[in-house]
Amino acid sequence: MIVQALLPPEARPRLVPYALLVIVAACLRATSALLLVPLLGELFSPQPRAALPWLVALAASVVAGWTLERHLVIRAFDLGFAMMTSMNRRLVDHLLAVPIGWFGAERQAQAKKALAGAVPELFASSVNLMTQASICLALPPAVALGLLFVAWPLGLATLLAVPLLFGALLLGGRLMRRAEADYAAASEEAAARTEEFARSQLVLRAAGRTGAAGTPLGEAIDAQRRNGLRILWFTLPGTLAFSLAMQATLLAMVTVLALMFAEGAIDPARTVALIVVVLRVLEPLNTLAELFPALESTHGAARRTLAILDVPAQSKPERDARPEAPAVEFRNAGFSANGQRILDGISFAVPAGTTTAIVGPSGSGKSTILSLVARLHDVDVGEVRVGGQDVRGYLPGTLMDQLAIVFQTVQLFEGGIAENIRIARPRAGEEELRAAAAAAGVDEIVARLGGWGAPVGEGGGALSGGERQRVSIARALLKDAPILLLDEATSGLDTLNEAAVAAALNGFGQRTVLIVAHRLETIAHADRIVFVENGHVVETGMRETLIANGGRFADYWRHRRDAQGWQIDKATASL
Amino acid sequence: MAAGFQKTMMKALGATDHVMTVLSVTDITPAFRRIRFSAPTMIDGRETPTASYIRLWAPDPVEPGKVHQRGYTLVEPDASTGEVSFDFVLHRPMGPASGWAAAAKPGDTITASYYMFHKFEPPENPEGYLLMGDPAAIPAINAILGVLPPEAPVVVILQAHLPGDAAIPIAGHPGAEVLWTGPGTGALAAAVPVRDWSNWYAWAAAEKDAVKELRATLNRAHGFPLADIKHTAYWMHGKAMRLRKQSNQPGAAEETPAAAPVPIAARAEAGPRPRWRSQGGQELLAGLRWTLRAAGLLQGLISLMQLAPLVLLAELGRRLLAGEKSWEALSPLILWAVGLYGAAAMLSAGLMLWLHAVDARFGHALRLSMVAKLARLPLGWFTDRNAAAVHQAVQEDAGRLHYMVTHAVPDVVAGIVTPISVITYLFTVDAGLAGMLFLPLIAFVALFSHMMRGVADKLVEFANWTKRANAAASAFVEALPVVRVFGGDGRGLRTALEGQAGFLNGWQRPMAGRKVASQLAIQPPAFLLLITAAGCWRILSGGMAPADLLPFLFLGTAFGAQIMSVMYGFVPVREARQAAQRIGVLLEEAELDRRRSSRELPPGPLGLRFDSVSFSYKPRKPVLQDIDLVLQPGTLTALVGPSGAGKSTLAGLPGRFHDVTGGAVRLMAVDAEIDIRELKPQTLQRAVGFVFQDVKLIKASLRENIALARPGATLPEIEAAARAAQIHERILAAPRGYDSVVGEDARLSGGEAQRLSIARALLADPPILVLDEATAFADPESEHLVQQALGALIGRRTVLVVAHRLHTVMHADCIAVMEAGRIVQRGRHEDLLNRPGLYRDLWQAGERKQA
Repeated sequence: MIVQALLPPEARPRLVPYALLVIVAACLRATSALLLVPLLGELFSPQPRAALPWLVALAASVVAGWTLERHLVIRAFDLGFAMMTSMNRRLVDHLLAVPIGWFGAERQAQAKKALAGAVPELFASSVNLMTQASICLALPPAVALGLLFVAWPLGLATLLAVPLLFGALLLGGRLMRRAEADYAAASEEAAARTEEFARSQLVLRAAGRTGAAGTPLGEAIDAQRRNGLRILWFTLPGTLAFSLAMQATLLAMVTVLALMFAEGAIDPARTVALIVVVLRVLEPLNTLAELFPALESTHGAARRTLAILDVPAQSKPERDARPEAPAVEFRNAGFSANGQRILDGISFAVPAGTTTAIVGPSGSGKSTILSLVARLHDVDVGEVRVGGQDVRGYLPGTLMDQLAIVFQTVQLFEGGIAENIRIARPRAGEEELRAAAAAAGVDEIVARLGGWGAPVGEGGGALSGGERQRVSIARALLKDAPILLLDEATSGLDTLNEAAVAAALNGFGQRTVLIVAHRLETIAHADRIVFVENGHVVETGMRETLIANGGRFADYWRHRRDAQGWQIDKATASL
Repeated sequence: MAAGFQKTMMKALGATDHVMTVLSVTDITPAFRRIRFSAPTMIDGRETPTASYIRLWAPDPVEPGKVHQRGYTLVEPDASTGEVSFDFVLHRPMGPASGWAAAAKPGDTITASYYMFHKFEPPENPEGYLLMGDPAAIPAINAILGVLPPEAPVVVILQAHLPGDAAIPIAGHPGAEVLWTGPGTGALAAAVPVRDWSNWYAWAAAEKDAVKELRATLNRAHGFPLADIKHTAYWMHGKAMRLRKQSNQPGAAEETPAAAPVPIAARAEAGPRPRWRSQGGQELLAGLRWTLRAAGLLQGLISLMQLAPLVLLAELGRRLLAGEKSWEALSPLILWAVGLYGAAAMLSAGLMLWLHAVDARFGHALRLSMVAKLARLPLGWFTDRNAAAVHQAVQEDAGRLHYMVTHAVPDVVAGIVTPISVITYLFTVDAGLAGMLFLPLIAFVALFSHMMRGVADKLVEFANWTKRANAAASAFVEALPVVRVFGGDGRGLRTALEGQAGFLNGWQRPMAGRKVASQLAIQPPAFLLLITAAGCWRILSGGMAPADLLPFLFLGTAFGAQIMSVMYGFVPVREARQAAQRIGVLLEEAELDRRRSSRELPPGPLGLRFDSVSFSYKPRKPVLQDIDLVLQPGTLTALVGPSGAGKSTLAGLPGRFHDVTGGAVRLMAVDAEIDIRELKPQTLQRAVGFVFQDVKLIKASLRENIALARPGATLPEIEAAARAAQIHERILAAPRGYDSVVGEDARLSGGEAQRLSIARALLADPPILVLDEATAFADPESEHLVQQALGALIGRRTVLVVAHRLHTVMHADCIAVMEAGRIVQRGRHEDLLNRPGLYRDLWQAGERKQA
């Protein structure tokens, strides 16, 4: 069950006593309702004083019910709290083991929502909702069973009606949910089109397309209207199903009561009392109908959370491999994402102590090659070897110890710059940290922000993209690992950034470097070039050799050289 | 002991007490005293928003032990020292607070409470700010003046109670006009100048009656919507300043400046009615007013029909108890009960159907009017911030209005009609027992407010924890690659989540028991017990007929739940009203003036002239000044200069991104010069094309994306444009070629999207082109292709380039060097380089960087 899956194994046995106590609480509520039958029977008799013992019994059952329900809420709190703390831990642990490739923008949002939104919501529901909802669920059958002893035909009728009522409630809820989902999807589409319309005003106005008629926007808005009307044909049976079921139940039960009364099986006072009991059977269903949206939302939160735990984690080897000389090698490696082949048959080697530049048009898979070395993704075919071993043979720590990595998009965590650099080697001395920072040109950022401890803002928002990459380079320099993976930034390149990249390359001069390079200077720095296009390695070799061969890299090199000196010149502009 | 009760109530609502010690006393004017306090428990680093105030408990000068509560604005709070000042107005006869302040000396202590610091939040971008008040309001007004945007016009109207009051220092603001008026309840209201206050925001704080009158005057005489007046009564005659009477101060009335209104602008004679953007929301819903009223009435009827069966069943019980046995006498009751119940269900479904149909029509019309509005706004309006406003309006607010139209009214009506009818009916049956139904509610309120003690603080703390957990979760998820690389274990996130869980545990665990106690008090079993117990007692003591108990058993047990739903029912309605207001504001945005826009262009080459153009977004803050620039047909003109010089703003003017505030932009045709404001909008957009760095593709096929500006273009034309823009081959490589859809099977890189947009511009073929030079260097891997495409686009057009790298435009026919909104130099590259000036400085700086 979903509740069980949410709980940590050690807390699961506590569900059984909780469920049993819920049943007891429902029975207590049922008892206090059923006690009305003798109570009213006596109260409306010639000796109304005989009702008093029954009143005492009713008071006792209500007070006992209160005590128990209060206790249940505290139990639910404990369960919810156990769920929250263990779920937080499980989610973080699991996210650390899920391949990075799983995270698209959508899934990132999903993970964030689960961590910060869904888990607290589940906790709040377990405290505020769970006890009341489960008592309401158990109450109608409890009353029905009790009625079997008091007036068995009525009890039987109630017992038959309970599944009908729950079924109608569920059906109504489902239909409503479906209609609302359709409506929400149509609204979202219309909204997205309107936003697109706003974004594209410049072009659309040139085309004189200032209206919605006949455009995708117009279609979306019309579809939204159609859906708004269609929602009715789901809403209507949804609401009607439930109220008709309630009505049919009421009618059936009153009829049974009337027949019993007509046959003289019960006296008038008890008949009246039983009508009250019948109404009390229906009451929890109304409460449930009101709680339905909240329950739905809780259910959704639970599903979203568990969905993340269901994502397969990356494999971990039984035994840790021992790295040899710091080299990197791709052997016929292939990788797909979302059913699309990103890399295919990639083979090349970066011998220890050399620098290799990966070059190629954008979208050719260059950055993915780097991420395979760091095992942010796993290959589908072939293998990637680091230090002479398949990367999948290492425990994560052992692999990462060999690598210093500079990604293209760098996220900093909230805190000071020094803190952000120190993460690379927490035990590094102050001197080493300053030296790494200075080499990467970070001290200039520090001066601007006003100190090593000055906050970098959420996600490093106080820094530009280029500056964030410089911090990342300082991290790599401080980490001082045998292999450097560097993904050069494409945008926001300024002279300081270029100097930082050069410093990193010099700092790692005698070590193994694999770099995704865009700038010609960076490319020139490499011992070997791997030219990648459409997910394939097209050429490899020394830069001069490749240029002399006049292949794809030679073209690329020439184009890039020309582009650098581009001038807008009407005289030479083509027509 | 009113103050004692007040204090208890405030505490129940979460206020906490702080003792403050006087540090120093400064008399700013004889009747205006500033006292600096040490209040380390209050000024402890928590947020103190602008114009926050606290409640001061001033001791009664006569009755010891009695205290009076007064609100005071925080002045210069300093979290590092825990110090804060308050300004006191010392008037005679003195009230308790001013009396205390008059005698205060360093070392004295006084108690203060704060509930929650309230925030000064004016609506966004009003036309100006009208601040009004008396000396007691000056500290708050000073605080507000300190945070208002410097370019905003501000009118401050102050009421002097004493001759010296006008000497109280008012915070400086570049756009503020300060008017003083004399004492008297109506003086402030009379002093409001007559002028067009459209879209102004008003803030007032003074004596209660004065504020009341002021508010009425602003609303009736000046047109201010009540929602746009933020007002607070700071004190009351005879209460705050104790027995203060006008006649006590004959001198004051004579010596202070006359209260005659000082007209700032001449009285507008039958001018257009002033308008506030916030009124748009009300008008939006106005069309639905009668529909919603009818729906409310119908729902009221339905609610009564839903209750009627219970009344009938009670009557059935009564007859049974009376010994009625004949089926003929009983069955009509049952049939009516079931029939009414069924009819109510049907009617309710019908109401739902009707409202959804109304909503579908309303939502459709609303969306179309938003789209139509977007098409009429100036292009410059479409900034990132306004994109967020569009998103808010179409994604979120439209949904809230959907709720408003379909559910809000029935929910609220049902929530009110049901409990009121129930309790009214039960009162007619037996008033004594009906009165007792309020007991559980009282118990609930008592338990609930006990539980809510200190909750305001906790809520703030909880919000902080949530914010922290959210930030940590975002940082963790976004930084996962880095976290993994450095062997991170997500410690930051774990700490934040554990902290949040720990806080919830510490706060909610003790509350869980209390919370359930308060809820159990209003659930059916409590009412059942109460009704049976009290009923037995009243029946046994002969105060009530036994059969009268039945209606209570049938109708009374759900009373608590019904009352609760009234309390919660109004929140979504308020949200929907705010949503309507936001959409209204969007629909009220200033449009491009198109009254004169009717001309077409003659054929032939086109040039462009900026004729002493100036432009500003807000008065007194010019962005462009005295721009004279001519782009001869077929020439290349470059705008260079430091960032913030106004290059991009100037480049947008030919497309009417904004309309100039002075001068004109003219198109130069062969034998005529035409102001662009006189051209048909579409004609202008066809004449002037733009290629910027941020490319906007729409979710449609690549073919449609290229043909966006010319929907009738044929495939060969589209292909030719794509070829010239170096994107044809890339398109053919996509899964469905030209029919591949952006975002589905066509995923374009930055450079590819750029080339696509250039193909678009080629197809549109505008004679004048405005170009951002950075476009050519945005994607290093395909720079040369983008550059070739740009070369094809430039062709023989008249081109205006916003340039960042000087060497890119060194062959331009004219280089205009901009600085701080003006053109400071112009000429060809060689000439500019030979003269001292900004261009040479910029060029040399660039050379150094290259080296």
